[in-house]
Amino acid sequence: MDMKRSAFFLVLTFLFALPGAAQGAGELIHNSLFTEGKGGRPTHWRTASYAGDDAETEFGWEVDPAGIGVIEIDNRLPGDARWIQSVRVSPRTWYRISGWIRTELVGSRNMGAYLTVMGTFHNSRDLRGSQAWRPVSLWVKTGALETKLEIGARLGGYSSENNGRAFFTAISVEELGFPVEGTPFVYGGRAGEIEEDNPIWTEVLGLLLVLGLALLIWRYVARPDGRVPR
Amino acid sequence: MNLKNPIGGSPVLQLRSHRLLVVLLALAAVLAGLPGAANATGLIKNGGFVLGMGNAPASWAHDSWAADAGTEFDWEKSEAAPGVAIIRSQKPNDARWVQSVRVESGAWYRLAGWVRAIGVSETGLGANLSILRGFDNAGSLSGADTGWQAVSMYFRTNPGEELVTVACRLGGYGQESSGEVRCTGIELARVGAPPTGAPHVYGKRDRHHAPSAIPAGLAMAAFLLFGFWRFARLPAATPAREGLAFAAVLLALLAVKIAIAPHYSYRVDLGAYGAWAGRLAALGPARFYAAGYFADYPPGYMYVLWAIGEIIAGLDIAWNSPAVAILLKLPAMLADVAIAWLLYACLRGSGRRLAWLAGLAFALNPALILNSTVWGQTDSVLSLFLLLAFLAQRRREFEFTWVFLALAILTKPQALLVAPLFVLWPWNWWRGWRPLTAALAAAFTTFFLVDPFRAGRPWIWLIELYAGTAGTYAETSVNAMNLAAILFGMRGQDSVLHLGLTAQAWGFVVGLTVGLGFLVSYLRSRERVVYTQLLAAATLVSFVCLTRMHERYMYPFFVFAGLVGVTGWSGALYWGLSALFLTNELTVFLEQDTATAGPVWLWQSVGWLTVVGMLGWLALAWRTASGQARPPGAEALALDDGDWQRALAEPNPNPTATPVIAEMPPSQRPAWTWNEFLAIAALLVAGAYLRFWNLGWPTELVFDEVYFVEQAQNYLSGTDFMDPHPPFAKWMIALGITLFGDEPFGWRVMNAVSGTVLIGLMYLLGRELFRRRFAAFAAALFLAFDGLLLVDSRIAVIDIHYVTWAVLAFILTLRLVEDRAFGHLGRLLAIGFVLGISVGAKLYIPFFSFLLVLGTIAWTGRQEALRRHLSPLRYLMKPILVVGWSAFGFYLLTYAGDFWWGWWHSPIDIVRYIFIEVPNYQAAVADATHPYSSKWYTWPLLLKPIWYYWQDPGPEPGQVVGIWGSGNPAVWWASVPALLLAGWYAVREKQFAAGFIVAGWTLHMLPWVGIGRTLFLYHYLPSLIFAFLALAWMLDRLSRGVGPVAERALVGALLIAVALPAAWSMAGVWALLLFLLLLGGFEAGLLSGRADPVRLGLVTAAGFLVAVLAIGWYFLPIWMGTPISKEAWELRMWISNSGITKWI
Repeated sequence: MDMKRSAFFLVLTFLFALPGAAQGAGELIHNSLFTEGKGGRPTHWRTASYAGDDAETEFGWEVDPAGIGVIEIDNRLPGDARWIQSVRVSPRTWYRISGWIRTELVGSRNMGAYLTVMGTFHNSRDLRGSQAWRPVSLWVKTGALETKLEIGARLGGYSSENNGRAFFTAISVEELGFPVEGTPFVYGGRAGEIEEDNPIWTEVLGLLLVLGLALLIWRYVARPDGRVPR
Repeated sequence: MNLKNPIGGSPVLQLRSHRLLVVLLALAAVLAGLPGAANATGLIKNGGFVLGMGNAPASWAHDSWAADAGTEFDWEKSEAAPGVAIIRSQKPNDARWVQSVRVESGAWYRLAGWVRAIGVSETGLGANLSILRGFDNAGSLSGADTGWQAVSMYFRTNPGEELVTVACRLGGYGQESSGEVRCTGIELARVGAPPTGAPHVYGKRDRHHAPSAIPAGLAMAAFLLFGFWRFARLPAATPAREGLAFAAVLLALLAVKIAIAPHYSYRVDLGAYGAWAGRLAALGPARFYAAGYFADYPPGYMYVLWAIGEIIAGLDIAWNSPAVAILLKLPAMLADVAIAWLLYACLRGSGRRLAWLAGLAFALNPALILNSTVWGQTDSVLSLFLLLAFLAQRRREFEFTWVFLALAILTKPQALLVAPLFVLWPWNWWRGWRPLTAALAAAFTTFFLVDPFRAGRPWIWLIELYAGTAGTYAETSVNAMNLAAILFGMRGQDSVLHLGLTAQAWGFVVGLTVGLGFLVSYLRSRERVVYTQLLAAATLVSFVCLTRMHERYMYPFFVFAGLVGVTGWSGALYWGLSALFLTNELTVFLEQDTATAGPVWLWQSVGWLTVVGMLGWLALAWRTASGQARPPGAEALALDDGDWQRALAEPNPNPTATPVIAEMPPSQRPAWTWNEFLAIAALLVAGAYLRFWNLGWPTELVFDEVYFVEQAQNYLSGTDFMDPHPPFAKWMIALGITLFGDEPFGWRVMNAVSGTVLIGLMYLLGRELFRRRFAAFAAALFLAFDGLLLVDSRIAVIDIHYVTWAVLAFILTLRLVEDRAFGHLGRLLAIGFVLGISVGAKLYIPFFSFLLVLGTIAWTGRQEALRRHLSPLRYLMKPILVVGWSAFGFYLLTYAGDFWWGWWHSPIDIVRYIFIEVPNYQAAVADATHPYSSKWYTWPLLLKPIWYYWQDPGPEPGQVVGIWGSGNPAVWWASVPALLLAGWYAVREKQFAAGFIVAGWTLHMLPWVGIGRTLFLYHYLPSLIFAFLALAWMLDRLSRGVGPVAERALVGALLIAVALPAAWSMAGVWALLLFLLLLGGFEAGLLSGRADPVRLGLVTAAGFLVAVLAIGWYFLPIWMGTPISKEAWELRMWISNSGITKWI
């Protein structure tokens, strides 16, 4: 009987053991406006492309006279190229990734210019063709073990290479409560999900705790024979 | 040209001469759907100041308070970057670019943008983004040149408010500033709520608490009441009148305390309690703890404060009223009363005088009254929980003991100083399962109470909270008059080194040394009274020796010391230490304005006397343990010890283990039956259907088909190229192209054939290895409905080919060794042929299949040779050489095409290819990266699958199409413990099947361990075959009721557990309940011994197979690449973390 009881508790205990990491707050992207850099590259940002060699892709960076920095991807042939920065995040937290994008002659068939979480399909809307500066954003809820996001400003995508030029600026990652219902480009959770909510299963487990303790009372306290339980 | 502000002098937005132009521009922007238009991302038009005419950005108007301040409004547009709105003002002004935006009433919005202040005066509000209502702004910037700064604010619209005006602003209402402001990238977005701790939040947040918060609080109260009710009962012989009299005394005392309570208090502490109560009532538990908000208490006592806060808010009591002070102190005062009664009730069995004295000594103790009634501290609540834990332990209700201990620790961390000692009594109680159930009860209590406060944070937050509390006062002594203060000074840093150790370390050394003295005294006698002395000593020794002690931390000592007795030597120490404790508390209380412990001579004197008191307590414990002293409470405490000792000595009346069923000896191969044929046929038909259905889609090359199809085409056309892998698999693809044309179906058809054949081969392998139909069927079923094998059978990649041939080689090898046909040339050549083909299908890894085959022959052949009294070397020479050389020969034959086309001319070319070209190629791709590459150790747990194909959007809006190279999670996860179990039996019982499985799995994993190049999940395929076999073997054991009960209990639980995520994903919370029901049923049936173990095992194993099918069906759309809604896709992505674990 003791074994049964232990197994019951053991399983429930197993279910709620969750590790995590420290919480983040404020702007998480360094050099968000691309105002700092050296050697022709904005600091804190790196580049990558599908092909590995950058023969057909040119990455650029410029600070305009008003002091606003802009990064550029120029895919001369269809490619999947991106500027990337890693940010530390807290698990199970909503983040809004936003920025401004301008495009020139980006192909219309495949993924255009957009913001993304690298290694996922968590993308903002993508701009194709030639478009003036537009704000884009996406919401991402991090996973239970997730402490790092790789943010990509990207032209083309996984199995969706594209050509053209894309310009990015004011890329931001912030913990922003949670998205309201109807918000597009929401990943990792439901829009409208309140950030303070614990998962429903934790509540169910809580109620099971009451049940478990009631069973304990029945088992050990209300014993009619008064035997010393083992 | 700059736009001058032509009209001024009014704080109200006014028309400007150019306003019509601006409006027309904005209208044009909206109508044309140009970038300035509102969109899903932002509500502000032209927030990037991209559009405009002249010096006016579209959709924006300007406005200022003072017309004569020399204010200019400008707009700069650059080709390279977004535009900039500018305000310049030589004199202080409140000037702004504004835009009115339609909003929803009662909703939260975030206004954000980039602002730069140049020469902005320090006076006034400076440069800012704001909402033109009240003083809502995103913080101000000022100075010579701030550079571009990201700013943001949150505001909530008022009921009925449907229009807000946002502003890029210099100065503010009544806070004019001069200088230059630049703004760009302004966004207004609706959000659910501001994040906890966000600055610049305007609007009241909704209260929020998890649904379980109130039940948790009520449960805590119920436990407290239950504990009191249970342990407060007086012995039957106690006259009712006496009990009433004692209660009347306590109630009268409580009334006096309540009367005193509002007149005195330690303002800082009571203020903190009041603030926390108010915050809890205002925000609820979920938002109580926040970054930057000081709250160093754990959640337990917060429930009490929450209730008080609700009462104050509900009755609308003024926060400075006496009633609030009474309410805040009431829990501690009630705890005092409860403890006094419990002491009385506990000791009453040994006499009236003893009980009355102990109860009244506690209730009337001035030091304790000062703590709770005057000061307003909560040490009595913590002490009450500790006492309840002690009393529950006395009745062997260990689960309750640890529930109360958890409550004590959650009330105040100081309980951690005492709680560990509760494992020591009674001796040997940890035999059996009670410690586990007790620990789990404590864990549940912690979980249930903390979870509503956790608010989605990871659980490590709780540890950080305790660590933060401990680190708040990293001082030698926080006004405790103790040894640490004497040795290292009052309120010094406890990290300072003294004689090579920090003060904190010295505190631990001294404390543990003294504590050891108490512990040894208990170990000498193991009597309950000495144990009680030990518990009392825990607080006393900690207080005296450790650093970071506050003046109040000795409180729990008096609870346990009271149980020991308040007369005689123990009474003298009790009262002496009470007096010292009172002096300490009173001094600090009176010095609360300076937060000091009074004059040095005083606290040093009290400190030394407290040390003497501690040593006196130690001497008493030793004398008690040695029988030289008998404290007054000893008899009452030991009343039922004898019962317990007798119970421990009894044999277990209810053994839970059922007899172990011995492992069945290996039988002969089972006979073939029609049912078996039907089962195989069903598997093959289903597997073939999944592999051939819509095989021509996607119509484009998928993933590495880019390479392999082209290479197959090259082999057909005779185009010379560098093939980094041996050619056989490409020839198979080429065969498909030859038969069905150079089109998608033709590229992939031979993979589908190979993948289908593999199902049948897997059945035969299982049958050969286990000689059990069920195990063979299970292994084949796992393979047939596994996503990775399915995907690799549906696209033209090479892995499925070498795996298929390797499995065939394993079957032939097993038949050979089981028939002891080591000298049969035909069979040896057949094995060599099949192995050669396998090795010729992919670089490196099939070589390890070759090693497994040779190793199996060598291992079993050696045994056979020894059995026949032959030389193993001579006996094994033939099979090893024939298989080895024939495999090598057939491997070389796979390169025949290279010679046929004239690319190669001699064996030297093969050598050059193997030893020069291939290594060069490997070196060239060594640094390649891929988003879906993975480490070898992540494969068994299926942590990082591969997206072979992705289309977003799919054929319909809201749909996606993907081909996901991932296994069936239930099978993969369950196979891990199965492999461990197989390893156990392989080593422990030297079972051949288990050994073959583990050896195969390990051999095929080994090559990947040291490889630094990019690896993918599909490299796990050959090991996966053995993982399937291990799981089938484990299921078979379960289905036969073989193995110890503990093994089957664990295996059953694991099988049910691995199916949980799928059930959860498909059916939500009900799945959890179903899971618990199944688990409970299985474990109850098994452990009670009432269910037939074979039937129970068979049902569970069969249920697992059904679950595998269901889960396979669930994932089928993303294995097969059929369109699926994005929501359904997300639902299937159970793991979405970064790094080594990622499904998307």
